[in-house]
Amino acid sequence: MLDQELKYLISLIFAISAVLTFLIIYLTASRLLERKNERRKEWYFRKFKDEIYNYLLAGEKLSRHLIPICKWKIEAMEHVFLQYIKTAQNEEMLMRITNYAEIYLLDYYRKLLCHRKWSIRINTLYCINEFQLTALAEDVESLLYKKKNYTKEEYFEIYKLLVKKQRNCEQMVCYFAKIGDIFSEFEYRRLLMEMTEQQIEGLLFALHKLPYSLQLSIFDVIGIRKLESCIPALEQHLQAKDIEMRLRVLKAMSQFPHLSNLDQYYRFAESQHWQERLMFAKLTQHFNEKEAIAFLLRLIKDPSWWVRQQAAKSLQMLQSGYQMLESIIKENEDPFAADMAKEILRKADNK
Amino acid sequence: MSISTLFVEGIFWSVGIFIAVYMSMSIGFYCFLLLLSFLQLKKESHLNKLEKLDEYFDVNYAKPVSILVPAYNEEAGVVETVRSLLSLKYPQLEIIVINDGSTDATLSTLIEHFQMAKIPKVIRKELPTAAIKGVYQSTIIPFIYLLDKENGGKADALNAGINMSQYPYFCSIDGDSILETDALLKVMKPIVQSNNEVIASGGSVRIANGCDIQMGTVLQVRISKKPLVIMQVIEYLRAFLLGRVGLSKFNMLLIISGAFSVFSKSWVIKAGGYSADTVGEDMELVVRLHRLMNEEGKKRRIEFVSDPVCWTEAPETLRNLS
Repeated sequence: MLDQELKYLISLIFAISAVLTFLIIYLTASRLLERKNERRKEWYFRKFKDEIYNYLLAGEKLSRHLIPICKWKIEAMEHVFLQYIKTAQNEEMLMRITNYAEIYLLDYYRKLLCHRKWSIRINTLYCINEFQLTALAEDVESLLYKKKNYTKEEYFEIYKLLVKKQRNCEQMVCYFAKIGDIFSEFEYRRLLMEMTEQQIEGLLFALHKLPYSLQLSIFDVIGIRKLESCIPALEQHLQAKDIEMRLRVLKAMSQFPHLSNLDQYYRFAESQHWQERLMFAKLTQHFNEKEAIAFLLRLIKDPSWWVRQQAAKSLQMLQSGYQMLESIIKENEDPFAADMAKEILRKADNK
Repeated sequence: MSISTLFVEGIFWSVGIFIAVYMSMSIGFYCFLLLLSFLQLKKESHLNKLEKLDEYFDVNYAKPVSILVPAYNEEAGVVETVRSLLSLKYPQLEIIVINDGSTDATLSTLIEHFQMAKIPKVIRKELPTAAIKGVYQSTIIPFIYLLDKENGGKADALNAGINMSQYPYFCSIDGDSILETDALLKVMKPIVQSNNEVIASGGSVRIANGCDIQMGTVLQVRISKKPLVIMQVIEYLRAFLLGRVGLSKFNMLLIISGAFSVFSKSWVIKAGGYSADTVGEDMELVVRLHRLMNEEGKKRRIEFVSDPVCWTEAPETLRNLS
C-alpha cells in the first residue's frame, strides 16, 4: 500500500517537474528570440538614425532601405516614431510620420485591427492614434458595429480616434450611450479634452442620455477649459437632485473668471452638506467685497474643518481680507476660526 | 504488533497525511497562481510599453499625494532619502518626515540641511498617536515638512504623518528604497484610472545589486554575480510576479510592500490607521482594509503594479542576511 502511494507521489512530482521544465524552456527560448529581434532593431536604428532624423526634421527623401518590407522593420520604425513623438513636439515632424504611415502602414494596420491577440490590437490602435491616421477612422469605426466585445482599453483607443474625427454630436451621443458606463471619469476627461467646444455643448444638451461618469466629467471639463458658452446650460443643473452633480456644477462655476445671476448660489451658504458650503465659500470670489465678507465671516466658524479652511483662504484673497483675518485672530471668539486664520496667514507670508 | 507500536504508527500516518494534504493544497494554490500570472503576463508581453505617462502628470487629472518618511535615528541617510524624493516626477505632492523621538542628530540634521523653521500648524487628530513636539517647514523647499514627536514606533509615526497630511492619498516608503523618477506616476495610475475604486496600490520591488544606478535613476538593469543575491532576486521575482500578480487579479492581495505603497487616507482612517502593537503593520493594515471593504459592501480594490517602481539593496553576505 505504501509502495502504491509512493508511486503516486513520485508520479505527481515528475508531472509537476515536467510542467516547470517545459515552462523554463519555453521562457528561455522566447527571451532568446526576443533579444535577437531587439538586437536586429537596434542595429537597424543605429545604421539609419541620421537618415530618419533628416527625414523627420528636414523633410529629406528616404532611401529604399527605410521602406518597411518585413515585420521587424515595421516594428523598428514604429518604435523610433513613438520615441520621437514622446520627446519632441513638432507639427511638421508629426505630419511626416503620418505621411509615412499612410503610404506604407495602412494595410498592415488594417489587418492587425482584427488580430486575435489583444496586445497586438491595442498596439495597433495606439499607433493609429499616435500617428493620427484618420484615414483608418472608418475601419476603426466599423469595429463598433461588429458583434465582438472589446476590452475597455480597446474601446478607449477607438473612441480617442472617433472624437477627433466625428463632428456630428448626435452620433457621438449614440457612441457613448452604446457602451454604457465603462470608462472612469479620468478616461472620459481625457476624451473630452480632445473635443471641440461645440461637441461638448452638444453633449451637454443630451446629458440625460449619457452615462453618469460622463455627465460628471463633462461638468469638470467645462470648468477646466472655461467654456463660457456652456454656462447657461450648466446653471440649469444646479437644481439637480443628485448632490454629486450639484457639487461638480458648483466646482466648474468656481473656475470661471466671471459669473452673473449670483443670487441663485446664496442657498448653498446654508446647505446641510458641508461640501456645498465649501464650494459656496469658493464662489464668494465673484461677489462684491461687502457681501463676500459677510458670508465668509459666518463660514469661518462653520462646524466643518474643510469649510473653515476654504472660508479663510477666500477671505485672504479679498482686498481687506488680511485685516479681517488678523482681527479674527485678535478677537479669538472662536479658537478654531482663529487657528485657521493663523494658518492661512502663515502660508500667505511664506509665498 | 503491540498497542504502543500501533499508536506510534498511527501518529506518524496522521502527521504524514496532514503534511501531504497541506503541501498539496499549498502547491496546488501556487500552481493556480502561476497559471493566472503566466496568462496575465503573457497577455501583456507584446504590449507596447511606450505609453505616455505625461497625461497622468497633468494637474487636472493627478491626485495629490503626501509622502510619509518615518525616521528613527537615521542621521546618516535621512537627508539623502529626502533628496531622492525631490527627483520624483509628480505634479502635486508634499514630503512629511516624521522624527520618531530619535536620540541622535536626525532632527538637527534635517533642520540644518533643509533650513527648516518651526510653524504653528493646525493638525486634525484623526488617529491616536504619541505626543507631537513641534512641526517644522523648510524655508527653501516649502513642501517639505518635519514632524517631531515622542517615540512610538514606525506605525505610530505613520499615523502621526497621516494626521498631518493635507492630501487625500499618502505614500509610505522605507528609508533605503531607491525610487524611479516616475514611480509615483506608475503606482498612482490604477488609482487615477479607477474612479476611486482602487484604495491602495503597491509596486514591484526589485533588487538593485549589480544594476547601474546614478542620481536615483536605474540606467541599466544587470544581475549580481553573487549566488546569495541571485537567490534573493529569484525569490523577489517569485513573490512579486507570481504571487502578487495572481492575487491582485482576484482582489486577494493581503500585502503591498511597505517599501513603496500608496493608500487612500480616508479608508485608512476609517480602518483605524496602522496598528502600533504588531510587527508587520503594512500587512495588518491591508487585511483590515479588506475587512472594511467587505463590511461596507462597497466595490473597492487593492491593486499591484507589476512594473518595477522601487529598487532596494539586498544583503550580500550571510551575516548581513541573518
